[in-house]
Amino acid sequence: MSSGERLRRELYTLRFILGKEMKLWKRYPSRILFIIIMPFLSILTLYFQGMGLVGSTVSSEFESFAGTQDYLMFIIVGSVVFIFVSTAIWGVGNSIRREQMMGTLESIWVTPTSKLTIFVGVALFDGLFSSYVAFMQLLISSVILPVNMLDLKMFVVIGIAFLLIFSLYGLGFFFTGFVLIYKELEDFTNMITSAIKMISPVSYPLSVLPTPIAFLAMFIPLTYALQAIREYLGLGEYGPFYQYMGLLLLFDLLFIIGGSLFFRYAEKKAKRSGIIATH
Amino acid sequence: MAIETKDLTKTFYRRNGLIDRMKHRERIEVKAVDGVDLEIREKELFGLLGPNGAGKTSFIKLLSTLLLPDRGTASVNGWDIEKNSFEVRMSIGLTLSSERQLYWKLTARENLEYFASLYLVRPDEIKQRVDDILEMLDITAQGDMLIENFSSGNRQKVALSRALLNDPPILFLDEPTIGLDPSFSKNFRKLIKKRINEKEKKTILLTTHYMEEADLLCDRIAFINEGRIVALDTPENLKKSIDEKEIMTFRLSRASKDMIKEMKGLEPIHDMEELDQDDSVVMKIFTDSASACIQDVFDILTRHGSQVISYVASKPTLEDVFIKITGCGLDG
Repeated sequence: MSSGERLRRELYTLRFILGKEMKLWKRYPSRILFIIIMPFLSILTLYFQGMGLVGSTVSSEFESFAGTQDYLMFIIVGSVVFIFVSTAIWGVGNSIRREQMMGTLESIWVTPTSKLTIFVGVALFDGLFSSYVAFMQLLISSVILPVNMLDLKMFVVIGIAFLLIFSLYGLGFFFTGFVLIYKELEDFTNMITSAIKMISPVSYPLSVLPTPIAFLAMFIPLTYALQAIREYLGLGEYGPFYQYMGLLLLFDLLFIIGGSLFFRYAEKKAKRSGIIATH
Repeated sequence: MAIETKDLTKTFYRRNGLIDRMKHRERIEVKAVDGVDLEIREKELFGLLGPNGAGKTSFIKLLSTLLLPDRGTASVNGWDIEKNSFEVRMSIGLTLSSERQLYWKLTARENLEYFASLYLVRPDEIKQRVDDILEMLDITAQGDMLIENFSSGNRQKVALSRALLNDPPILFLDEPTIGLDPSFSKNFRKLIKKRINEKEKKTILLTTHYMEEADLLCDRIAFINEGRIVALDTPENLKKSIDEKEIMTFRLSRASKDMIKEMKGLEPIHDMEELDQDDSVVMKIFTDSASACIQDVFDILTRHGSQVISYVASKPTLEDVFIKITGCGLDG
């Protein structure tokens, strides 16, 4: 088979991976309820939290350390971007874990399709799913809350999020390698996700963090994506927009290469030790 | 040659939990495949027979590129398993013994179409290929049923269908009839032999610990024990390798050393083996003629106060050959 023909067939395989994920997802009816209700719960929690803390969706107190009065818009941006963070980092690893638990991983691993195609297929499904949740959160915010999140600026925000997601998938490859070797990572997943959320400026600006923790945030691409988005949306003064874009590109490169190399190492180690399909 | 291995070796190192590791630094070494040299011809139905844990599945996983060898080489359909893993995967179909190798929440057709795409079947041929295979294995009617509603036997048929999707020249079937009821196993074996091997002309490497299965299906059989090939020949020649024409199998309440020594002194008896089983002893007596020594054997048993629970005289089976070579049964 020529490499062109192989590429064509692997691209076609993506359609079937998406289809399979969608069918498996649909076969559990409770999930339908989940995707209808969850965006409301997430956004309304943020709204009531703001109302409880500052009595309004805007606050001059908040402006003194965040650079903007618009508390609600500040935190919705963080929340929506974080949906992609969580999915990008853990989506592929969790999918591999699910296949391990279902007993289908070896059946997939023995096929000639490249692992990258399988990962991209899973990532596409997760990406579409996250996009839906993010869009619903923005829609709900714009329709029932006093913020407008659906203007043209959102296209630039999506572009920035896109740059961020590449580097996060690099991290995702790294954690997928971890899943192959160390299996059960649920607690680890929760810990890392919580740590990223705490260190990076998802729910609050970096200025509220103690200096050593704020220093750690410099090594997380999410920090630069959020700073760039908030700068662009005028939600405070966060510094040089294009410099943040450059840093995001650098993280993309480093994390994708590093994550891929680690995954290859982990796959080889799993094949040597025979632990690919063990639980 | 369809498959060729030279000195193929795979060792696993097992360690317990962290506390145990701190107490005992040494690793437990398990040689799953130990210096295997093997040649399997094109279109041959080759059986790998051995007890659980003998190394059968590890051997298949090495050839399928799911494991990497520590030493030695192997080629499948002319491709090296380490250097040409893509070409090897394009050349093989694999079914594993696990029932959970399919998506239970998808239908048979959905499973097969998905795997056909992973096997890089031409996109415009996927639907037709799936229809053809469902028909070939006589499960077209169940094509749109969820796998979770299938019987174990039909699930195994779908797994076999999946292995045939890319029309590979070589099939690896790992314990294909494990857990199936006897009548379904019989039909399934017929399907493997007549349809897949003889009509479709596939080379098949089949692992099993059922001696009848290996005996009925395989052109040649290799006995594997503790990772090593201990015998290799046609089923007939393997059975002929036992000089004795009959085997007397006794299940006894007990067996003393003196009793066994006395029996070994009987002229028609060539050899004897004893296997302890729970609260009884299974004794096999290898002889040219059971009728010539049966009375003497019963006399000795009576004298030594050993109660006979059951007795069978039979022709040598592959299991007898295996026991004679390895000193242990196929049940491990």
